[in-house]
Amino acid sequence: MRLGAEDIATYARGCAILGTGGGGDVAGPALAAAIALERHGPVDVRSPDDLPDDALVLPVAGWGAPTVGIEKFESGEEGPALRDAAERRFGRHVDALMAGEIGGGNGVQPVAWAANMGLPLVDADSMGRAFPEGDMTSMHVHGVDPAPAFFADERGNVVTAMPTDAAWLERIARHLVVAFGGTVAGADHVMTAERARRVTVRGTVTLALAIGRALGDGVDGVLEVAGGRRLIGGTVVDVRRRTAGGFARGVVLVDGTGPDAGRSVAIDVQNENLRAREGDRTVAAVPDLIVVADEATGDAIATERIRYGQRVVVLGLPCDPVWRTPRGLAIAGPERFGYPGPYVPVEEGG
Amino acid sequence: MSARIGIDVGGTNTDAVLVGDGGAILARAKAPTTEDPAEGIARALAAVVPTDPSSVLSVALGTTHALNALLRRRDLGRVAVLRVAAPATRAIPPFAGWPADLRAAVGAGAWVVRGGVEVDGRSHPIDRDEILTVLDAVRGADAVAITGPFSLQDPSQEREVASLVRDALDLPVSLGHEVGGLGLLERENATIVNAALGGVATRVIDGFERALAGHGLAATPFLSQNDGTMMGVGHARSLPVRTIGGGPSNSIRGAAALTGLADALVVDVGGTSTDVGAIAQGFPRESAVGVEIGGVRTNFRMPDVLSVAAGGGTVIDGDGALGLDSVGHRLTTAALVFGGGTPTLSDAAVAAGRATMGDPAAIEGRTWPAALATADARIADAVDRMKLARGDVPVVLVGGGSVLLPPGLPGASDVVRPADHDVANAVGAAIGLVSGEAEHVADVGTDREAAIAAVTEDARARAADAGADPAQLDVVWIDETPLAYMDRPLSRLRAKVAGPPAT
Repeated sequence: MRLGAEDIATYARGCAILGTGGGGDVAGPALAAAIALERHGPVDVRSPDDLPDDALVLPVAGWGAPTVGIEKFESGEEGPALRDAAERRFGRHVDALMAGEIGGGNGVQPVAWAANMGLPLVDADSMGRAFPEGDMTSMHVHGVDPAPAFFADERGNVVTAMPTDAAWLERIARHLVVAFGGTVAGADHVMTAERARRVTVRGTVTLALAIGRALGDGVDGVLEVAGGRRLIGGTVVDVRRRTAGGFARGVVLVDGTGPDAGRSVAIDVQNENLRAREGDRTVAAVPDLIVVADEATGDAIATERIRYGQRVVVLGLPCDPVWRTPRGLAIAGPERFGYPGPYVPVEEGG
Repeated sequence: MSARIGIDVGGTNTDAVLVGDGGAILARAKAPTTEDPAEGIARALAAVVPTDPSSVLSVALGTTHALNALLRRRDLGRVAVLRVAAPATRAIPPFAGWPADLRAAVGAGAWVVRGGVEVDGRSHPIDRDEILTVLDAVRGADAVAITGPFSLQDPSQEREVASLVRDALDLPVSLGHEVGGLGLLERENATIVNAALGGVATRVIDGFERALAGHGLAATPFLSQNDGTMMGVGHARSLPVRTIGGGPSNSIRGAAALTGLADALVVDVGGTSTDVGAIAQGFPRESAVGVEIGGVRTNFRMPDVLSVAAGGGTVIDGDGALGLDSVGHRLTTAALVFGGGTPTLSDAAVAAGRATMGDPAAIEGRTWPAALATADARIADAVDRMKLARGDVPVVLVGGGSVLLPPGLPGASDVVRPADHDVANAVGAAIGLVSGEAEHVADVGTDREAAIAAVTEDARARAADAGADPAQLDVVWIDETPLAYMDRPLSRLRAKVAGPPAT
């Protein structure tokens, strides 16, 4: 498959849905990708099956605060700086890029980098959605070490780190985000295509594009390609926000209208939409995807942009099976975010 | 006895009212909107000026001049853009994502030059020689737009570059921190559009001031802006982009004034559509996301309005079903009751006895119950979706087409159709308050109260600058959104204040 300039807006809308409220704004990265694709032509999207066993795959992502990212965005030198650092460290060429996180702007940005560097993009990521912490990856579930990790800012500063585990990767990245003024580009879990076949969430670039296309038939079209179910359609009647432990937390209350009149769903938010409750019943919870989309346009609404009065549709989509394993749930299940278990898959909830 | 005049330029009519001290409507006029809106404005104004012009304290104008210039790509100035940020942000240069024809009409070069402010307050120095070299290369520009990351927090670099531009080129300058909110690309787009509209603003305001002088009016002139408030014309000359969406806001504010309701839904039935808006604490509720203006992404908030295809001119098809198209301004010649050949919602309303207009004999024996039921359902659905709480809310009906509606509306606790509802938009302009908005990214960990006070103070200064009486300003809202992933508790703080004009 090839991803061209004419596909990027559709693909970005799909990534925003998979962002489940987080992952950063897609508008900026989509513009950067459109410029790169117009200049260099379409990007090859390859299944890990179609890469040689020993092809070197570089998973990349932006770390930091979305609100900073919409003011100070990239110079274009970050991707090449990460690739150069990895090639120096491994003494060989990088053969393909992979999105570390398909959800939100982090799913779109690697398309721009791949186009600019003339590299293929692997049809996979490490989450199948967006997550707030760097240890919440399928590679971590499979016990793969993150080191070495590379970080680059927009001014040519490059850091190579050797975190001993995923928790240290997260801690080191968090400090670099602060040092570099709110955002930093990173690459970690560099791996061969042979390993990528086993430890990534596969097919997510294709899925994002299919979701984007399905939005043409309205928000419910997403369910056709991603599974899951509609949780409620209605109006945002309350948004309560606070910051705790470096994360933006809040509760969004949606009152049903039309066929859902008389119902009400509360969504617990911590950078992403993490849990949906109706009365005292949990109807969907992380690691499943809870999507709040604009009723009229079908566009996903980032948690930071949800406002009183918005007319929305809330969807619950199933996560990748890797997250439903005991270790997957220990790393990114409801209890990890402070909500009581046990986790019930969204298909069975409600 | 003192009074205020409001004028609103709509798609079909230009309305004007003279409003007395206590809110009484002393005079009202409707004139057709003309190709050059100045003619319609002059005609409507002439009909409401009182015998003693010195009694008029203010005249406020809500006009679509700026929006039309953008939509038609006409009379736009050419803008040179300097973004102070490099090497950051180079991956997305200015004008990225613009429609090609608008970019061709407006673009006079764009440069990303060294410098920039960081979220933590650090800044990277600008390079004066680089900027002077860029300014040497500017050709054929009518204005300059200057933007930079985090300039809302620290505008010093935008100002520094502006002073270099003013020394080198004799051109008007638009600065990002004075025009838009958070989000560099959207703020930059708004700043470029603002700079491009400078010529249009000058012409409109000069014409407006001439019209006032011609009637012996010494009143303070104001322009309506997107959020339902207004600003002095001096301010409007440098911020024309803020006048783009004045129409719907005026209508909603006018509905509030005519009924005394501070919280209600407003249903405005026109010829082509029904627009449902909301009054919240006396002001039009804003849309949740930024809007595109002429195909350009900005972070301006417009009034939250839901439009459905149900107006006096909405066409009924051969099967008696209500369509989506409208005969528009041709209603008074095209509808059956007006001697035309097209069945419209107006004909259905006359047939059902809801409205009296035209010649009922022309539709003798015909009815369109299905079309009326569809229109009622579309409007009821829009009212339902605009409601923010369960239970019934008061609904204010305005606009000439509101006679088409049934006596009651599902979901409405009370349906009010005030006298003079058909000039609610001009009333909204006349009684407009003057507002100021400010936005900071600030550390709320050490002294949150001081951070909120600072952003509020900034909003007050802007309101006073726009013509408000500083002693009578009230806080409309304060909004705080925490930033994630930072080592300090940073928040995005926004404040809006509003109050009556100083005269």
